[in-house]
Amino acid sequence: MKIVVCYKVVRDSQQIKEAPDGKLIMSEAEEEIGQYDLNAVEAGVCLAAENEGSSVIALTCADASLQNMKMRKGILSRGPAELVTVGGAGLDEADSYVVADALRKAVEKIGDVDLVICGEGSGDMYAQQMGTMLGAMLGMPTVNGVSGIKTDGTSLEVTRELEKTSETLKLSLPAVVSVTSSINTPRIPALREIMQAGKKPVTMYTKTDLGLDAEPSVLTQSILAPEKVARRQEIYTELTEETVDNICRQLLKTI
Amino acid sequence: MSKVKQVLAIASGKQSAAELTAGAALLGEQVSLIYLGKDIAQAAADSVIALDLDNVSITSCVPALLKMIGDLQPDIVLTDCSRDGRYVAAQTAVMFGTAAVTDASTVELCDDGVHTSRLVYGGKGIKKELRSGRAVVCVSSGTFDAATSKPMKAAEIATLPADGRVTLVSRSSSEVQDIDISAAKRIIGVGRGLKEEGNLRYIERLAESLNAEIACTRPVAEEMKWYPRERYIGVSGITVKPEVYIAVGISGQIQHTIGVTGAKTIIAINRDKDAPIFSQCDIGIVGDAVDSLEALLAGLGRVGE
Repeated sequence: MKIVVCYKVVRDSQQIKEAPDGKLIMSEAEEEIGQYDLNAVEAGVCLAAENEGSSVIALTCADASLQNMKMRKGILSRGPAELVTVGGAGLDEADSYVVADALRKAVEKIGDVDLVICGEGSGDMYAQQMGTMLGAMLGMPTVNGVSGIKTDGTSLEVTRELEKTSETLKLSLPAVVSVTSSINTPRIPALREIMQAGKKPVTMYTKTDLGLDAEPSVLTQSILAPEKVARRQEIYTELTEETVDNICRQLLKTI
Repeated sequence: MSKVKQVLAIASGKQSAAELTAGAALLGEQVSLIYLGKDIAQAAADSVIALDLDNVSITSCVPALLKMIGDLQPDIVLTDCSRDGRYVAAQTAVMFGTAAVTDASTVELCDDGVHTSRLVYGGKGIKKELRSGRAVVCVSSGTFDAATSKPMKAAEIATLPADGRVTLVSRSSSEVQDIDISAAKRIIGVGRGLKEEGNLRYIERLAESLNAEIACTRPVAEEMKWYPRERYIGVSGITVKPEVYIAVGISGQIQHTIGVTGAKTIIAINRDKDAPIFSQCDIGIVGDAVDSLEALLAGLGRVGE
């Protein structure tokens, strides 16, 4: 099987700071592979290991972050044999339609792909749209919320988790699936794998190579920190009986 | 701004059906509802289709579903943020040649199009977006008030043919209780700082004496698995607005606290005096979780009836 796993390099949300004007300071936050994408990579690598003669290709679409060699090694050290990137101005700010279109054309360029695996959602926006959109654009059967995958090489059996039920589904191949974070525990690569990752092949396509011309149709107006709610901040480092009783009286007042 | 002509609501539950049809009535002259299931008799819309999905998954009948959606010629499609809602939104958006906005907490119609806002970067930012043209929006629960003056219409049950590419082999119902914490007046939130599962008994005793619901952080639900996912509060979980929220052993990462910003009073218990939760609470207790809970339980015994 030829398996493509998609991922996105994002800024670590926990390190994003707020400027006095409410804007977000992104530059100090480190880049990382989206945490849910690691589940997609792991799922792809495990599935390939179970099906002899399979190969795994990692695929991403971005602009600035493509220069981050640590991220390249990071993804390749987790098992994929090669990396394909789609790069070009505007792709970092593009809406999910433009990104899905870029991934779709890259998958078509790679050719003869049996299965595309995406994470549940990106680590920054977490809209949980990409896998389904990519499947729709490729004209392939697609399923989201996948918490288990088995294959015999010609079809796929997946478990799809919904809020109150779960479905067992059989999909014809080629197909696109989005996996949940509960499907596996992503591996932590060893130093040797990180060293070897630097030798794996990387193919870099530009927007022109793939004939990308989609324009964003959902326009970002602003991204600002949420307004803070003012709180009393009465802090007690020692609990005297009087303090406790006072807190309890306030608590009981709400009943 | 005048309304658009046709708004289609697609819902996977009765509550979201009520909220989305009410929201649709604010945005459009005509409201249609496609309900993903048979368990609805009527809804406040001009047309109500209830899909019989007993023997198919929504993922098995995409072409027929998209045809049904296309035939209604909606200017705006609203779905809920369920797994099925997001799936249908993505498929519909591709059909319209656009992207869906998900997790929208505001949806407003202006002269230049549909304006939405949503949380991004794990709650660190609010992203405002504009879509001119046919819009697809996955709406967060609680965004629209379910009350509407539109008369009820009986549901027509429809079946969709499977496309043969995705086949439903079986469906199991997991043991999920119907939990609605969002309506609770008092909520106790459990964080990793509680240390041991055995300590939950103090939480349960406090919940009982305050008639409170128990909620938790994402790691407590997903990593420690002390409580089901339906009980975790935060950017990818639920949002609550109780009278009082008691955060026990919760450090106060924005991913969690963004879900309780609407609480009237926040009481925090944490061992670490520098924990960010203390800058976001009304009353803070710096100390061991179990000791503090025992002190509160004793205090409630003294001051209570």
